[in-house]
Amino acid sequence: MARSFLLWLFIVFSSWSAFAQQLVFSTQVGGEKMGIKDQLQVDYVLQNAQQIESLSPPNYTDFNIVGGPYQSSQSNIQMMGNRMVESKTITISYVLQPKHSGTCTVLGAIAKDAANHTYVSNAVSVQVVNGSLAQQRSSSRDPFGDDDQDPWAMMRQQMQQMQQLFSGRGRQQAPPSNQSAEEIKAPADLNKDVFIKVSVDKSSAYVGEQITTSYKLYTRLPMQMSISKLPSLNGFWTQDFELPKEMKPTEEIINGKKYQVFLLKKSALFPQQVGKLQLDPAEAKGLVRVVQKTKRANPFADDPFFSQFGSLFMGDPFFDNDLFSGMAYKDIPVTIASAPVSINVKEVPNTKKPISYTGAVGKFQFDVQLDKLSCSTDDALKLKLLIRGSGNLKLIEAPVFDLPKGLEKYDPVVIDSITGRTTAIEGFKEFEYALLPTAPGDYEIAPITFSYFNPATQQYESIVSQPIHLHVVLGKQLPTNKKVKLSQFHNYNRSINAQNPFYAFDHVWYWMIMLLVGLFLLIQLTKHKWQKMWSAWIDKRNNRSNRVALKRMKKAQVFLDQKQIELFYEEVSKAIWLYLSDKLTIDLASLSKEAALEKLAARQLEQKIIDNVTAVINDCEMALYAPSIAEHKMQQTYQDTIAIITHIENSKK
Amino acid sequence: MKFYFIIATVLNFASFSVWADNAKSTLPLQFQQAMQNKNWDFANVCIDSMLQEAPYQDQLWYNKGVVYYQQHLLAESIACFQKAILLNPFNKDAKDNLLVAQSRLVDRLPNYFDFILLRWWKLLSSPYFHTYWAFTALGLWVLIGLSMYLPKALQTKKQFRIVKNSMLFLSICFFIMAYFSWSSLKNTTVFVVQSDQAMQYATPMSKLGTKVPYGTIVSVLERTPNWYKVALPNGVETWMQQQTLTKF
Repeated sequence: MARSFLLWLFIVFSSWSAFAQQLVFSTQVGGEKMGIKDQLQVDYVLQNAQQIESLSPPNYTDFNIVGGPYQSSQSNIQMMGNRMVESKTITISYVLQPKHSGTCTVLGAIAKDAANHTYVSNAVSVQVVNGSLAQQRSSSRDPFGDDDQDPWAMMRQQMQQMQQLFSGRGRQQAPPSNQSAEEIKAPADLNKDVFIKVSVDKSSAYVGEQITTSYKLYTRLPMQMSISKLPSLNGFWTQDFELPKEMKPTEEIINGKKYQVFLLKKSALFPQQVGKLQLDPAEAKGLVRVVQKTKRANPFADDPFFSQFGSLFMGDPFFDNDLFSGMAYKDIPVTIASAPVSINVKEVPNTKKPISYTGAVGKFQFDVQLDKLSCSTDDALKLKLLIRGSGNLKLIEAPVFDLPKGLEKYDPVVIDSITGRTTAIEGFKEFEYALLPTAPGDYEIAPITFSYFNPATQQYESIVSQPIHLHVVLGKQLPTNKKVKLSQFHNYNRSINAQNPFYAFDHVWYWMIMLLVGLFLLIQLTKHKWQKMWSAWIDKRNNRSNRVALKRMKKAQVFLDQKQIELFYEEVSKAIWLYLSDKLTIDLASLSKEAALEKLAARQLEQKIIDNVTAVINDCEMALYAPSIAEHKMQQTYQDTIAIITHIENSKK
Repeated sequence: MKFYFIIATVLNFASFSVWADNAKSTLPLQFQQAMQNKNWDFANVCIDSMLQEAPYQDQLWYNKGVVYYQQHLLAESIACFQKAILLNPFNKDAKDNLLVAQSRLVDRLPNYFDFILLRWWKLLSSPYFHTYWAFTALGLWVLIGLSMYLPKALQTKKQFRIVKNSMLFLSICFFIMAYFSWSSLKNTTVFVVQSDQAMQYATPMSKLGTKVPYGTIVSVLERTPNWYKVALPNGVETWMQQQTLTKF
């Protein structure tokens, strides 16, 4: 019993640091000494982190990152002795490998929270030696602490020293107790020692009726557990009760066994639908420490002294007590879950249901208040309907009531608030209507009825307010004190379609029409200018054609003097055709004798000139095939060509 | 040339018939049913779906404002009514509902810059008038083009030339107005203050200033990653944190 108490104390003190509720940001490394070939796990641990937005790792100068970042977060509800502490921990882990031997520094990381506060974790120095220390460290370690500080390890060591002292043969060292010990007791059936139980105050309820449910953890063993899954509670509107942050466990005796009981969650459930609803199981994961007795060999069995007097001592119960049998502990990972619970939900009775019933279930008080009993038509009034009590407050709809003509009512502002969460969900719901008197006179706001279903009496109960008398005088008919003339709030528009209005600039065809019309206008407005430019260009071309033709004719005269028939006619032919093309504005591609004669005729030139043109063209063509025949016509052709050009130039003027 | 001009004119008038209806959606019906059943969340989903198709439809913004009002989300409701009015300044229901919604705010900042010329300019340059300006400009151009086919004797008269040049000037003015009203579509984003916020500045050492009431419509002048420089209705310019504003 004394050892169990010591073990319990040890667990409590080893995890004492988890009690802190302020944000703690620390760097934790796998060890202070490592080999250069080993890998080091670094954990940046944020305890009680609520609103951390970012975490930046440092630039490691002494290490290479070989893994990570790995993120894990955990909400812990830890049972430490007789206290329960809830904390949230975020861990960012990296796996590092040292770049060199010697003293290497694991730098601290930087975290920022929503308020832009910066937190820096501590830096840790690690001694790096050559080789690998991983194998040396691979021996199993107590997950709860260091062996050097383990009271049980110290006790084992003392027992080994005693064995060596009293042993006759025994200079050889006894093997570690955990390995040599024979298990004398198997681990207990953990499901009976640690479990979660859901308790509900009623298994059958009306829609909207409060059901109080508690999730409790029962344990008879030291443990370190965290809630891994909370029930989703579908089909219910839930409101959690407030639990103290540090809660002392209670004790319960079940089947003659004493359990420590931790209350994990206590909620008020308000079913929203009829039928059989099920509460999901809650789950918790963690380690349970199981104490085991180990039997050791009798240290005095081989001693000659005890062999002589052995029969005398060995029968003594002293040698059978715990001093000569070891105590070992084992941490067993466990996952426990509560059993699902079914609740039968019934519809509220339809018989005697009041017309004013709007879904309230519970026990309520009802009050109606008007902020002014006398006002002018310029004033606005506030009518408050206050429902106070315990029940499904959030699900209650506004009581229906009518106002006398002359008073306009706007949609209410709804405020609901939960004020009590200790034994029952209590609070209030307020419907605040803005009223506008439109005409002077005396008004009576008729009593307003609020009905609710009371599950305790299983009957509907109604509360009727007192009538309110209001005296309204004529205002100054000026704009109201809010400088706006209020109109009636209009309801939604039924004739809607998902089609944008027509915006002309969004359509290509609008731009095309604008372009066409714009071009047309531009051309029309600048038409005279264009025409002038065109005639100037034609004149320029004509002048150029005259000059070019005369130049060619000069060349032809040279060939005429030299009697070079073919070259002469070739030059005359070019001169006449190019001249006609430019002068008559005929493309070279479509230039033909017929086209040229037609254009000349259109210019109303003398027939003689036209005939001359035909003759010159024919002579030039003939000279290409029969130069000897055309030889005597060279002078005539030359003169005719000059005459044609001169005549056409004169006729233009 | 005459032929092309006639074709362009015919195309212009024929194009009015191109405003064909799109295939009818069931969303309006679903929205109506949701409103009748007071299923505000689903009504909002329907409206949002329709707004994805037609983000410039003022009636949709008006209905969205009604839904928010029914959900007692006054700031959102005010922003939606304001947006409906920006898209269609003649939406009387939206104007009425905006006044009703604003009247339910505890505090309001006075609007000092609501003088008549500014209101006229806002009205004339609103997207609602865009198509009127655009087609008036086009119509004037067509008229000027047609006038060129009037008798030469008339065209040479001084009065005719004055009328023609005036029409040309007016058509350019209308075209510019059409551009302004079209580009103002992009300025219909409404920012509304989400909770009673003290005026703050974009520096960590800033001091708290005047309170900006919940539901105040502000116009954004400048942006940084986390802060907006805004103009309040009373003309004061200040910086506010991004998360204190909701954009519509």
